[in-house]
Amino acid sequence: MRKFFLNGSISPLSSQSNSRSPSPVLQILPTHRFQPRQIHKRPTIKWALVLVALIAFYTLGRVVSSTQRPAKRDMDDNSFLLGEDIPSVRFYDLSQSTGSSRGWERNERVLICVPLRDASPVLPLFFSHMRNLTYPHHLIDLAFLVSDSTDPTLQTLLHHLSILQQSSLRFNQALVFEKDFGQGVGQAFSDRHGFEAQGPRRKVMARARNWLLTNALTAEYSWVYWRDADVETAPATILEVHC
Amino acid sequence: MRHNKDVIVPNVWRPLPDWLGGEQPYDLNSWQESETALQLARELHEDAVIVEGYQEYATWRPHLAYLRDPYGDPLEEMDLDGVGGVSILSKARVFRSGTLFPAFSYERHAETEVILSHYQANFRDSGNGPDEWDLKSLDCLTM
Repeated sequence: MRKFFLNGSISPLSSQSNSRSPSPVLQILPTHRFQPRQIHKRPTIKWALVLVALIAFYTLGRVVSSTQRPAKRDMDDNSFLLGEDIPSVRFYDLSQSTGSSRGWERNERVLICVPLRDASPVLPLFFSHMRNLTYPHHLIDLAFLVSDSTDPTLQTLLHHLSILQQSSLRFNQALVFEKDFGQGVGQAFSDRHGFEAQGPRRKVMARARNWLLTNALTAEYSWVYWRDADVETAPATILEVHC
Repeated sequence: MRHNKDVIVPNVWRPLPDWLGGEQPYDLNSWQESETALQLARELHEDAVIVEGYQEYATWRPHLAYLRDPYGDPLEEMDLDGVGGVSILSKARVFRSGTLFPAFSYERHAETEVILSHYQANFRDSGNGPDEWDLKSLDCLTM
């Protein structure tokens, strides 16, 4: 069955594709008529849905990964000596970290204990000494005990620590403890060194040192270095060369 | 660290104005035991704490700070029986063994001066005694 059009050709398709001869007559097809632009659906909603879906996936992923976070890898102990690396079980062989004369080459870690009391004025000097220490800083942990201070020792300490620990000379970590021991003796030179004050003062200092030590000394350390904050000059190589 | 000692302290001095001689031995808590001091400790009340550098307690101990030779070898060692707390490097095993700073009168002393004898007491049964050493000529100046 054939359909005849106005121009006499058999069909619009055959007239264009099959005969390949340009038609002399202008064809006006229904599709060539003016048609008002279709009102397209706005794409905003679609994209918003995609965005919401992405956010949902992301949040879900975060939640799942935080709840199923793999146990902390115990790279810093000797768990492999147990035959397998059991998560959350740590094994320490302290006979390997007794401290030796070649500590720096054997990555022996040092805990520096510093009792502080009304030490605000001497802290800048102390920190310059710490920065100058030649022992590898990533093997050193600092532990401070701030006690019975009437001056802003703690604030000054935190200020200096925040600068130091964000610099290239940063130490492995710094621990700051604050505890008062009720020292009845003043910190002035004449107070500290009067004869009557010596016995009680030494006993309180001993309590403070023990408190700091038992809180800070963990299994990683091979050495403990006690250092007063008011040392004025000391060799930067004091840890590995001079001691 | 290079000396590989259990406990080691440097010589601690205090700077003075030139007209006072320039420097003063500061850390008198680093000492060798003396017979006089042992006798004194026996006589004192059990709660007493002997402190160095005061005429009330004449111990006649050899003090590290007074034995300083300004031109000496900084690596020279000296045996000590008591140490001061200005700058102590010790092996962590000293404290792991249970040694503490006695906050009471221990053998008539307290704090850093007796960590050594406390440590020795911890090791008395084990047979391998600790070393306490000091550096005779190394200087730390304190304020």
